Amino acid sequence: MQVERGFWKSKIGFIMAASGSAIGLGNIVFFGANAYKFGAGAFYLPYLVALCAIGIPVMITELGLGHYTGRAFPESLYRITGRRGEFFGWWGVLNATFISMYYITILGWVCGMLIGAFGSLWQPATAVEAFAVERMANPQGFFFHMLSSWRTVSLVILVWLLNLLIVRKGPQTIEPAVKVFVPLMWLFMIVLVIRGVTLPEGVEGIYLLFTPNFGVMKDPEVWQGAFGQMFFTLSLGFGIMTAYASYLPKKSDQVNNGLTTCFMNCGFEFIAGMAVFSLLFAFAIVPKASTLSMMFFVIPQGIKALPGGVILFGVIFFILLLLAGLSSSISLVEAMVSAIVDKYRTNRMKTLIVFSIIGCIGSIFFALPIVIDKPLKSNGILGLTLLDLIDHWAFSHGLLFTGLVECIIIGWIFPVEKLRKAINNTTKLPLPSVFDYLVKIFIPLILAYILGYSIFERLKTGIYGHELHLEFGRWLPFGALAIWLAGTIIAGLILTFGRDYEQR
Amino acid sequence: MRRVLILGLLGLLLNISGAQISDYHIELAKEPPLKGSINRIIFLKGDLPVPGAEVRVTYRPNSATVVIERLGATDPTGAVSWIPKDAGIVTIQVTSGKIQTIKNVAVRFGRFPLGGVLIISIAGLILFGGITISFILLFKR
Repeated sequence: MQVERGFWKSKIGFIMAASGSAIGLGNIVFFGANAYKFGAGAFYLPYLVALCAIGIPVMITELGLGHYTGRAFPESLYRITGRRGEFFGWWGVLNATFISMYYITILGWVCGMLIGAFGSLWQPATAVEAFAVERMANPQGFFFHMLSSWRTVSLVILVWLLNLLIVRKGPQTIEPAVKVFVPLMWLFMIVLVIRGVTLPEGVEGIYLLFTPNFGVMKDPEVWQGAFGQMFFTLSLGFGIMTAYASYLPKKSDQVNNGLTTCFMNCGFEFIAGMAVFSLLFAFAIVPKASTLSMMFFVIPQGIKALPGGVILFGVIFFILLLLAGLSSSISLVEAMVSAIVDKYRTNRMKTLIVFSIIGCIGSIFFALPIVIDKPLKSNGILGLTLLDLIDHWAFSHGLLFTGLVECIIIGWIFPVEKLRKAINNTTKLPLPSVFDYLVKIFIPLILAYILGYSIFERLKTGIYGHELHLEFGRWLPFGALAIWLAGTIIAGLILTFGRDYEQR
Repeated sequence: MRRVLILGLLGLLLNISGAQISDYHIELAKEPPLKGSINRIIFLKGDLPVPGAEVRVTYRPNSATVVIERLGATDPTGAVSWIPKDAGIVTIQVTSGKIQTIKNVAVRFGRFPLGGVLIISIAGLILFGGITISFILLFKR
C-alpha cells in the first residue's frame, strides 16, 4: 500500500522549516553564555572552524540522505545497510523522542512564564513552598511556584496539542506554521537587540561578548565545547533533517539548503548573543552557561530591570522562546511519526495521536515530580534532576553517538562518494572531494573523541548525577541511565524487527 | 558542554538572590568603573565605614577565563583602591568576619575595543554574507 508522503510547496517553506527546527531555545540563551564562558570573541574561531568542518558537512549529509532515499531516517539507513542500519536509525529517532518529551515540558514552563510576563512575574516576590522559605524573590519565586502548580501540567498538555495540530498533515500543515513562526522569531529578536543596544552601556555588553581572550585557545575544552555546540545547535543527529529532506522534490539543491540552514541558525544566535549580553551588561548581571538558568532567571532579571516596557519586552521574550521551541518540537515529532508511517503504513493521524499520547505522558512524567513534591523534600529538586539526567544522556551523548554512527554508515558503507555524486547532480555548488574525508574520517574522529573523553571522565568521577547526594532517590542517576538505554534499545529492536520493509 | 542544570539553577538561586539581607553594602567611588582607571571600593554598614574587611574581585565570573584579584583589607575609611584590570562583569566580594557581601559591577572598556569590533565584523560578514548569498542562489533559476 503506497503512502501519500506529502511535499513542501515552496523552497522558502522548506528553509523556514529546517531553520526553524535548528533554531531552538539553546540558540537564544545558551550560545552567548557559552561563548562568554570560553573566551568571548576568541570562541568564534573554533566556532567558525566547527561550522565549516562539522556543521555544514553533517547537515548536507543528513539532507542528502533524506533527499536520496525519499524516506525518513530509519528506512534511509535500512536502504544503505539493511537491518543493522535500520536499528541505529530507530535508536536515533527514539533518542530524539526522549529529548522531545522533556523539551516540551520546558515549553510548558515557557508558557507558564509567558502568562506571568503579563504581570505577576514582575512583582517583587512570590509565595513558594520550596526551599523552606515562605516567599522568594522573583523571577525565581515565580518560576518555582509555577513549576509546582497543576496548571503547568495542563500547559504541557496544551503544547502537545499544538504540536499535534501543526504536524497533523506533515509538510502540508508544518509549512504554513513555520512561515509565520520563523519570520516572527527574527522580528522579535531584532526588537530585543534594538532594546538592548539602546540601553545605557548596552553596546559595551556586545563588546564584552565579542572581545577576544585568546588565552583559552590552548584549552582543549574550548575546542571540544565549540565542536559539541555546533552539533547540538544545528539539530543534527535527531533524524529531523533527513525526514524533512525526504519531502523535497528530486531537483532540489541540498548543498544550498544545508548552507542556508546553517547560516540562518548561526546568524540567529549571533544576534541573540548581542540582545542578551547588551541587557546583562547594562545591569551587571552575571551570565550562566545553563539554558534553563538563562531563560528563566538571568534574562528575566535583566528585563525586570528595564527602565520601561517591562511587560512588553517580557512578553516578547517568552513568545520568542515559545515560537523557537515549537518550531523545533514539531520537527522532533515529525521525525518519529514519518518514520513509523513509512514502515508500518499506518494512518498518519492515528499514529500521531498515539505518539502524542505517549510523548505527553513522558512530558508529564518530567513535570509531575515537582508538582507532587512541593516542599522539595528530596533535597535535590527531583523533577528537575530527572530532566537533567535524561538530558545528559540523550542530548549530550545520544546525539553525538547517532552522528558518529551515521557518518560511519554513510561514509564507509554507502559510501559517501556515492552520496556526494547524487548531491552534485542537483546543486549549483558542487561538493569537493574533501567532503568525503570530512564525513569518513575527520568528523567521526572528532565525535568519537568528544564522546570518549566525556565517558572517560565519567568513569573517573562516577556516574553522572551521583554528586547530587539526593536524600530521596540515590538510585535516580542509575535509573535514568537504565530507562534511557532500555527505552531506546528495546523499542528500537521492536520497531526494527516488527515488520520487514519488503512486506509492506 | 552542558553542565548539571540543577546545580546551575541552585547556584544561581543563591547568587542572584544574594540581595543583601543586612545593612552592609558595597559602593564605588566612581560609577561606572573603567578599565585601567583608578577607583575605590567602599564597604559600609548603613552610612558607617567598615575597616579591616577583606576585598576580592573576580573578573569574568562563571567563565573559563575567570581571574581573581585580592585587594587586601579596607582602610579606616572603609575603602580600598582598585584599578580594574579588565573590562566586563566583575564580582566584588567583601568579607568582614562572618558577613559576606557581594556586588556585581560592569567595568567599561574605557577605549574603543578594536578586537571586539573586528570579531563582530568578521563573524557578521561570514554569517550574514552567507545567508544573503545562499538566499540569492536559492531563488536563482
